[in-house]
This record gives sequence, structure tokens and C-alpha cells, in this order.
Amino acid sequence: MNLARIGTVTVAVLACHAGPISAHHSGEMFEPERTVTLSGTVQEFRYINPHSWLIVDIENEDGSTTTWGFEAEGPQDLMHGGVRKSDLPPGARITVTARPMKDGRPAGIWSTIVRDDGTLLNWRTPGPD
Amino acid sequence: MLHLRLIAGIAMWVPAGAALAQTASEAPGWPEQKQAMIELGKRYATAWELYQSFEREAEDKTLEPDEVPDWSGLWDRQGAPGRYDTDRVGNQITARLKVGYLEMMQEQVANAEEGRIWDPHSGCGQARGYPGMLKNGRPHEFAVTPHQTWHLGQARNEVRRIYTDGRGHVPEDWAYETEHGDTIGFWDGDTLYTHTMYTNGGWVGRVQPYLSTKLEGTEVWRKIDDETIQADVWIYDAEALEEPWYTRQIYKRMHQEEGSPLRLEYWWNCHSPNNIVVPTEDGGTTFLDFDFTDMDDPEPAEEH
Repeated sequence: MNLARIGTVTVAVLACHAGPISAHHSGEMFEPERTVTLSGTVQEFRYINPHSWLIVDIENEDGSTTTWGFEAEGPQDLMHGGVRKSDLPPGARITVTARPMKDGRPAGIWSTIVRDDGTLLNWRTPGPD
Repeated sequence: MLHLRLIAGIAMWVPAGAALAQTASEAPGWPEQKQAMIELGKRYATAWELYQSFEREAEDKTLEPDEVPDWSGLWDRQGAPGRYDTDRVGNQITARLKVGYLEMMQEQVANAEEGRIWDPHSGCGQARGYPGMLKNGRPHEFAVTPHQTWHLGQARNEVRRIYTDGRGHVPEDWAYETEHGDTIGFWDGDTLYTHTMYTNGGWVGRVQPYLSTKLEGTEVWRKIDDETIQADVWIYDAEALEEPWYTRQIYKRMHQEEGSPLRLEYWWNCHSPNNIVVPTEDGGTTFLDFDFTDMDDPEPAEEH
């Protein structure tokens, strides 16, 4: 598959909520501000250290599917933001807002996710504690 | 001369509002307090001399089992892990580095400002060591006993042992350099004083200074309220630093969700599943071949 086929994403140039990732590695491989907003179906939520990975099948405008990976911090930070493993089961329909890789590969660091039931997940916003 | 105990008392002084402060710099009166602590460090040529000055003033250096302070729980270091000194503004570090070390720092800053940051500890999840582990994110835990205190950090699987049983440092003939060095300490009431040496110097962390094997540290630790543990830390390094580098590190209690799921776990190493980062040719960071897509797989070599 050609990388150009993922060019059908909706690009939103928004003020990014996400600061640099800092636990394990530098986050400079991600766009510093530009975000993309993509819709798809959760394939797998790897709730692991040092970074969680949410694997999502994103539907392109031409009907094809591209598998994307969205990084976030590890489980403690997700817990702090109130994001549980069960919030993103395989098959869940979601819309992800993320800062994509600078090199165009299908990955990014997610800032918010909206499930199709309207639930907003933001691992950077601490839950009530 | 100001009595040492009075000076040391600054470390224990908790001004109104300090408990609410997330970092030292948010506490009322912090610039004046910090300057006093910097001046205290500058009175001594070495961290060992500073430590001994505290030791001479201590009233009772033993800790009985019924006197062990309750530092249980998991603790979140306040401030960005990328800032060992939370007073740092941008990339302007607060350590006064000597020429060669200043140049290494300036090179890191210049690269960072061009978007190139490679963290050599990323590859396999290596420990930051001392003093870098003090500023790590992720849970910290303190196991306090009368004779030893263990400081555990989940990020980078850090483990640091502080011996408070009256022993001295490892004799020089037997000593060797390690990530966390050799730490001894004593308790004076509910306050823990430590001295660290024999580190392998190394690197505080991303866009932060390199230090030498001459590094020594003296720390004053205290739980200032049920939600807060703080450490005053003086780093001395005759090779890398023009003067002692003082910082205050603050740790806040991490609150649990229902069912107490939060634990200090083994973190990670490069043999565990995750997407691996590698340095780029120009000194930046990127991911190796992603494991969830074949779109970025290397092209197979052509057969001839």
C-alpha cells in the first residue's frame, strides 16, 4: 500500500493540547502542533509500559482501510486521566484527534478520543482525585 | 556565623501555602528560600562537608522501629520530568557548568531548538541513575526501615538504597562507579539526611547537563504533610560544576481509583513488546519499523 493513500484524513490545525511526551523517549518525531482527526474501529488497545498503543483501522475516503497506531503514556497516566482498558475494546467505533508523525507514517500521539456514544477520553486531563 | 541548625531549619520550614504548591517555584517566598539554600551549599567545598555539618548538628541519628515515619503510598514527582530544576525557564538551565560541560549542554540545546533530541537511555529503558532519577515521572515509592530506605522509581526501573545503619561509604579500594552510586544517611527525627558518591556521572536527562564521576550529592528529605514529600538536593561536582547545584524536588501522593489499581510495576526493557525508538542520522529520534503496519517495512533487497 502506498503512503499517499492515507492522504484522505481530515486535518485540523488546532492549538494542540498535548505537550511533549516525556516518559520514555523524545516526542520530536510527532508534529509539534498540527493535528489530524480520524475515524475508525479499534483493533487493539495495548495497555502497557512504557507507552500504551491504540491500534485503529481508519477508513479512508476511497473505501480502503489503513491501520494506524496511536501512542500515549503508560497505564498510570491513562489511569490518572480516567482511561481504562475497557474504554476502548476491539470493535469500538471512535474518532481520534492526534499529532501525526512528521515522516508521514500512519501513527501519532493521541490527545482526545470520542467514542460513538459521545464519551470523551483525554488521558492528559486528570480525572477526579 | 549563623548556626547550622538554623540554616538547616530552612529546609524544614513550610510556609503557609507550601503544601498546595505543586513545584517549589510555586511556594510563597521561594526565591528567598532558594537563595538561602544556594548560599548554604556554597559555604562548603564538598557535599561531604555539608553532610557532616548536618550530622554534627543531629540530636539522635538512630531510628527505632516505632519511630519509622509513614512514607507509604505512591508519589508523583511534581513538574515536568524534562526539568530537574523546576525553576528552569525554557532551555536555560540553572546549573553553573564548567567550560567543557557547558559546551556539551549548549550543543544539546542547539540541537533541541532544531527539533533534534536523541535520548540514549530510550533504547532499552536504561536507568537515569543519580541524580536524574529524582526528577523522573511515573510513581516513586519509599520503603523506610530503621536501617535502610529504598527509593524506587518505576520509570527506568530505578532502585536506590540509602543505608542508615551507621556504616560509612564503601572503602575506596572496594568502590566502583554505578548509576546510583553509594548512598549513606541518618535520621534526625523525621528528617532523612543523605550523602551519595561513586556514581558513574553520566547524564541528568534529555536536554539536561552531563556530570562527571566526581559528582557528590547531599539531600535533606522530609514528609511535610500527608500529601507531600520534599527533598532539598545539593549536587557538587568539582569537574563539571562551578558551584553546588541546589534544587528542591517535590513529590505528591498519587490517588487511587476504586480497587486500588495503581502499583509500582516493572517498567520496560527493550525485549518487552513496544515500538522501539532509534536515533536518526542527524541526531533526532524516530520509531523503528512499526509492528502494527507493514506500510513502513523496508523494501526487500533486489535479487541479482
